[in-house]
Amino acid sequence: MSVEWIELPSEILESISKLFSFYTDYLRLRAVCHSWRSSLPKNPLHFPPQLPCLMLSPRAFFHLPNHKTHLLNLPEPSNGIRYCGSSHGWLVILDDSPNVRLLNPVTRETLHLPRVNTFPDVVSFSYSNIGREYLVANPRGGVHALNLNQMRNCYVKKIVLSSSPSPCLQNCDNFAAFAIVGKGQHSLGFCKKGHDSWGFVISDEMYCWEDVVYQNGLFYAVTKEGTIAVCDIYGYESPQVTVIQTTTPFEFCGDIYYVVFSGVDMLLVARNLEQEFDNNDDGGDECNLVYRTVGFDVFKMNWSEMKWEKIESLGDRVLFLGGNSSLCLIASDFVGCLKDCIYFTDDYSDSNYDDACGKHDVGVFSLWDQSIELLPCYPRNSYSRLGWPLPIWVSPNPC
Amino acid sequence: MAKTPEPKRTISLKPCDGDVIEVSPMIAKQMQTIQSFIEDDSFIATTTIIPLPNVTAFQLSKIIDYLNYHSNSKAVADNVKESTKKFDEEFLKELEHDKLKELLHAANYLNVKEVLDFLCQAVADLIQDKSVKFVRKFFGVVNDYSVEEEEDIRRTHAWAFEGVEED
Repeated sequence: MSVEWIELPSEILESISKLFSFYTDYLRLRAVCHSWRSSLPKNPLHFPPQLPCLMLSPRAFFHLPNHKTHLLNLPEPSNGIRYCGSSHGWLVILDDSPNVRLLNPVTRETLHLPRVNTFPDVVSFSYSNIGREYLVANPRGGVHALNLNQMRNCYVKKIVLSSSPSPCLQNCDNFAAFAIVGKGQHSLGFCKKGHDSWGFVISDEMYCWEDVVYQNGLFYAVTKEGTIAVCDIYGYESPQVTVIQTTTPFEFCGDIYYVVFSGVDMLLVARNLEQEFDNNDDGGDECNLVYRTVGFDVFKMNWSEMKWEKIESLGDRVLFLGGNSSLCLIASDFVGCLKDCIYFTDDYSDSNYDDACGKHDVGVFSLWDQSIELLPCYPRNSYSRLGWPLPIWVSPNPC
Repeated sequence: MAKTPEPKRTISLKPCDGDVIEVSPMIAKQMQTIQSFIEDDSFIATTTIIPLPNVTAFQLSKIIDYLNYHSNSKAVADNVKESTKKFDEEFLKELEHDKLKELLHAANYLNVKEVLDFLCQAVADLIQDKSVKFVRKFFGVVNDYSVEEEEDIRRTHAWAFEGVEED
């Protein structure tokens, strides 16, 4: 008895598709024929977090399992933009306008967050004040001017999202975005679904916020000193914030810090950079001051003593750090990534480190032998990427 | 005094290409399609043979084998788990692709959740990491995309189509 498979009920096809853990398998199943494409939803909801790939620009991304650069060809400009966040598969994009755009590179959907000129400390914005388009108040009451580039590159440090903002999700009403902003990164801002402006949770010159992450209904921001702000923007009229002072061990002296949750463990990862002079590969006399990652230290929060304690191993876990919402995954769930490693990308922009040029610093740090292997994600001539945004990890998400 | 006959304790199923197969009510109960026959008031278990025009004897016996084995090994001890795994592997090993496909149809027709879940997983495992060409060949699906449409799909998500096993 021969059966025409194509007549198989779509429920069965859907059951099979739901058993896939990798979105790539799903994409290929949808590409089989027209009827399969129409019976399998474009935005499947069942996928667990996928292995991140490194967005190099809207034109290309680097795929870890095969170490290849793939073309993406999003209908987007690749110049003049900055990725200031990547959460749940959505990139947060700033450009030379006050717009804050969310882009899902997989579905190509675009959404908007409130514009940057709606942050409470932005006094005014006008395109006609060329070179001083924004006037921004500092916590002491003074006002300073920022131009379009400065606003794009320096004002917003990072934006993280609580969940995918996709309207196809049932719980999308709980969506919120959280931002570290201000000239000295003194302020934490937030907006919830439906808001047309940003609010501040805290704006205080005492703190210089370094990273923020979302976990179980709360946003956790940290400073380089290890201070934690636990922010609850749900359930109250005004947002609640608790600042926790912590003790830190003597090794606590990184250049950049990232906060990430691994299950219930809160980790703070210190990234250590070294300055070096880079002779141009083309034999020119010019030397450029560049920064290079030389190592990482990982600390775990001991909540009973409010103390950061150094840990020597991540076990089966793997971290993805950079401009994205820091991500912790179980390495054995994926092909193409190593356990007990930190995959990092250069999220410190030229503007943060005035003299650093476009040399890239993207690699894999292995905790067990403290080694660093660079990822071959750019063509050899590192200057070919000038004008592209800094690369960022994105975990592909179909919704 | 005439003895009343023992009530019949099995359900008779007639596949499209073979003799009647008797199954216990417990097994028949797991086949939703048959369950609806049995629940029908006009159904007389002693005499009625349920015809299954869409299921072959081979398919029916495979499904019964699976259900029998799994209903007898519900315990969760490790050694039972191990032997269940072995049974499942052997069960699939004996099935060529075509047979697996047809069995999935039969399980769907009979609406046996346990077997259906198992076979869906088997198919998902089989086509995971495989090319679109393989999946089409496996399911016997004709590609009805135009060259342009197919190129467009591949271009949009190029990374999903590269570096996969062809067969």
